[in-house]
Amino acid sequence: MKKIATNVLCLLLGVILGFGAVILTWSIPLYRSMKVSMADIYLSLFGTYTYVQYREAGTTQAKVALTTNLRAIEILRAQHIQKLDARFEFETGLTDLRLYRMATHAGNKNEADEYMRDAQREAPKLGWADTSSAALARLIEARESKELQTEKETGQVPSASVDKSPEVHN
Amino acid sequence: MRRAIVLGIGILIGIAVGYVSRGVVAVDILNKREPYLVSAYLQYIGESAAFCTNRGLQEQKASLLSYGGFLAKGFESHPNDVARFYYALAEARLSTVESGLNDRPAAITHMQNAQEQLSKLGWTDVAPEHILAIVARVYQQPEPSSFKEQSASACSEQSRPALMKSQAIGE
Repeated sequence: MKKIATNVLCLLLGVILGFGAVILTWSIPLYRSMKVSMADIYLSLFGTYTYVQYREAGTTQAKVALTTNLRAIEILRAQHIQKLDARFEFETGLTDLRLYRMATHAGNKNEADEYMRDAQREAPKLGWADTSSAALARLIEARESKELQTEKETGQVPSASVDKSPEVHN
Repeated sequence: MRRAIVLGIGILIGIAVGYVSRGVVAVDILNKREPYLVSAYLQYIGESAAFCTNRGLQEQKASLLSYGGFLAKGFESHPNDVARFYYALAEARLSTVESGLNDRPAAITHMQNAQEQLSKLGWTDVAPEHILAIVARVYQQPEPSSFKEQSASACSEQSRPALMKSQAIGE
């Protein structure tokens, strides 16, 4: 009886060791790569929603969409997904600049300044040469006209991409 | 010696079980730690199927209804503007599919539903033509007037939201 119990224990120990080794070897790396892909999808779902709301909704709801997007990015940033770091920085900078523009149009100077400061914090990480308020204000203005132009020309919602637009920085 | 053999057999069984279930384990860990990511992924899968136009109208209708139901559950239990937004787009698309199926009352109902949801989201223009133009832009589909011609188009990247095609830096 004791022998059987020992053998069963050995078998169970073996199963646990074998299973654990496979999980560490395959499942954990798979989990990490799935997390990156799903985070990318998550970001894109929020990006589309935010962009369309920014264009179509009234001021209050557009602002809700932009701030929701910032929160979503923050949640993902907390996951420390290095592969998406540059995209997080870009999306955050862009959203801050859109919020800056909205606040400027609404005449809320203090709020606008605050969003501009937030955008300026992200800008150097993206390698944007000139991070002065004036340059970033020109950058978002140029980007938004380009987005409208792209929509008119192609009939499509423009893709998000990292805007290095050097001409805007000069 | 016998114990070593039994242990070896156990390890082999463990490796076999682990190998077969490695994907399930990865998804399970993800679902426990980041359920919102899995939910976004499910939405993406549903959306890709729902806005795939390379199928019959009945099939498109079924996919859109299923996708809409998935989203509706989300924003009914936890008021969520993102789910509401995608639900409204799906309803608008469903209205064009119903039009294609010559079910005008259903088309009107779905469009009214889309208008109601988009009004809640603060849209300033909820005219059907405008909503359908936005749906067409987001999913890169032709305007509804050419819907019938579109129904034979390829179902691939074409039906993905434009922003979803954005490339992560470094890729």
